[in-house]
Amino acid sequence: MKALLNMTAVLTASFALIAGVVFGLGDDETLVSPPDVVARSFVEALGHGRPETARDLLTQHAGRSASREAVAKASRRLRSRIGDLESVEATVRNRRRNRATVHVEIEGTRMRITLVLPLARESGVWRVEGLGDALTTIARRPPQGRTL
Amino acid sequence: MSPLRIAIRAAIAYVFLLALLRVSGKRLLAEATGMQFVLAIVVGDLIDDAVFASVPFAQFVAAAGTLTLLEFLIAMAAFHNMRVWRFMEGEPPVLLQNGMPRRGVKRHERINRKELASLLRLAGISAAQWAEIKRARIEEGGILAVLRHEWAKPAQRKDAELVKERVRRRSQ
Repeated sequence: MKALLNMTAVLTASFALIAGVVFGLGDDETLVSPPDVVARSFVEALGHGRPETARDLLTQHAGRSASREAVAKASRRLRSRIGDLESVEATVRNRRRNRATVHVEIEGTRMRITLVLPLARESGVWRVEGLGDALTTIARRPPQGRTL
Repeated sequence: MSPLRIAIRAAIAYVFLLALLRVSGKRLLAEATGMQFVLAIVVGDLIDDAVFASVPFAQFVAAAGTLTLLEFLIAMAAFHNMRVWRFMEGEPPVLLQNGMPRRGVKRHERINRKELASLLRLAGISAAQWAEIKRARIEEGGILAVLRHEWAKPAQRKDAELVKERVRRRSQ
């Protein structure tokens, strides 16, 4: 029984410590995923045909405005454009307090494109908030080989 | 990604796991059950995501903590209740009985005759000595436990006493 209490105490203390660091000290990239990692995970989920995973990385507002179907459609469009996903490089270009803009270079078997994803911090963690723009970018198909 | 942040995350994950293992009273790997082995692999995979920030640290704590807590609760239940223990560990399969390999069990455990012979050789028993075996079973941890027939056990002092007694009776 004592061991069970100790284990519960370790878990509670860990959660309290994380909450203290993230919400109290304002940590936004040590104990939470930094914006570039979130953007990369989002694009990888779309590129590998996992729209549900991608949808989980959207802010509440973006999640409400983008239905499951819309995200699945974006995933299909992206894959039909670039072919099989080969690599994803994400770089934070602009960052102000709870907002960031990430440039994501996506290389597929057919072509290479760049997406600009706006991210926002929600409940301490970074989330993609501009699926609409990303979808539009994917939807506007430039000639093959050109960068968006 | 900054190497410093990776180092900080790795250090925090290490301390968290150390505390968790310390309070859960984990058995050594050599004594671990199949489930504990699986748990070690799963937590090893989870720590990778936490160190490289693919998931927020709270998710890692939630996943690793829940799995360890579940394993701990089931181990406690198995300690207090034999039915739970049997359900979790299963009966050790008997591979060889009265010198004869049990085909169904060998098939179930996917151990062929050569592997069985190899396991027995490691226990110091050659193929010619199989008839001496009363029962050979695989215990928890994959260790082969061999039980010999009474007549096949090495002679002991009490056997010498018996021989002396018989000789004495014959001479009378």
